[in-house]
Amino acid sequence: MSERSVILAVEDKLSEAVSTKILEDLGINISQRLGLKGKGYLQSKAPSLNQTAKGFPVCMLTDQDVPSQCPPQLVQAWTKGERNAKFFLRVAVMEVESWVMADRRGFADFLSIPVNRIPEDTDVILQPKEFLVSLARLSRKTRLRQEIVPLPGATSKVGSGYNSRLGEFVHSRWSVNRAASVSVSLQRTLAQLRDFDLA
Amino acid sequence: MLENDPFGQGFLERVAKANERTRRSRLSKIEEALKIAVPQLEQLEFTRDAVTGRPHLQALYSHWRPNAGLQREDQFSDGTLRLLGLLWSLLEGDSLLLLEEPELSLNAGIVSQLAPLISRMQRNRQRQILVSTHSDALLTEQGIDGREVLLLTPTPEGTEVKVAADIDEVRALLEAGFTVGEVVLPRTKPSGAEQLSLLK
Repeated sequence: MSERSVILAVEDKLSEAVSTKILEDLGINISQRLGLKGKGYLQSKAPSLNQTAKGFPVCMLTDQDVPSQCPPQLVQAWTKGERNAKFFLRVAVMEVESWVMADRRGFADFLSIPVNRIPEDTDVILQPKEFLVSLARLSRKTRLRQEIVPLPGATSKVGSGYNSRLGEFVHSRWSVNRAASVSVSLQRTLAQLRDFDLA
Repeated sequence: MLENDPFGQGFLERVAKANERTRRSRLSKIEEALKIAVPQLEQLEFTRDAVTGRPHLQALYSHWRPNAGLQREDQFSDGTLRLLGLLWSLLEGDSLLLLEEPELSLNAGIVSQLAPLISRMQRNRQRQILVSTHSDALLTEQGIDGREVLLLTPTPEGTEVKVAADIDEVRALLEAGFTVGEVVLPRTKPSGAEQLSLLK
């Protein structure tokens, strides 16, 4: 039996942690990692990765960011032509942070906040990153709060430990199945990944 | 810069030993490069200390205060010293040259020019140059051939060496226009690197 493996391209560290966890759960090996240079970079590389996918399956994850651009439109605009069957381009609604928070119980435990603070449908949160930071402000864990929330007046939207703490959460505590029961966007991604032609 | 020469005196001796014409010609080329790379540097010359006779390099920096801009090598920045040593090594000799992480202390904009610079300077001499690096900036150059890149992976049985272009996915991505930095560097990341930022 040949090993199921993909080239993974993502925009940032948190997307990388989430994709890695999802692919691990599905028993798919990552043979090469690309990206971590933002959304514009991914978009610029999408057409050539669509070509590369003829020989090696490619999995790319990006954020929708704005409600006006619906995922099918984005996929078409990015691939600039017909999407190769082995080019798996998924768009997280609205951002990968929505998928992280979609494991409501796990994430509430992690921050030590009441679970009802997290909406029952995380796909409708318009600015998930900002919303996640606002949840972290409520955390009773002082150190965690300080690391995720930016300092007053800071130029960055997130604190200095944002990626590492959330990455650690995703790696060790985030449940893909619990999250998929809340986020339709994640649920569809999983269903399509299961059917994805990796041969 | 040179092995067993942490304070650079050995390097200065080497500069001193070159015959005068060769030294002048090399230093004038290096001066040309440093004028591009080092803000305010205007002139580079070889001198000997009037009392001790020791060799020195000195540079004139443009400065709003008159006569304030003459500096000796012990006042040069790390980056200036490293670039100077690197250029001298490239100009000197035609035997095998090993350059260990030439990106250290240099601005990324300068580092991104090193691969074409090294390649250009070795072309006439037909010498072999081995460069080790962790630098994305150095490997952004589109012209680097994946067949010339060796990927070194430490394993319990010792270091495994692979030609980058012999790895199927790497070759496909390089042929699709990705740079060696984009494709090969992520493969060198230690698997638990994220743990470092969580250290208590």
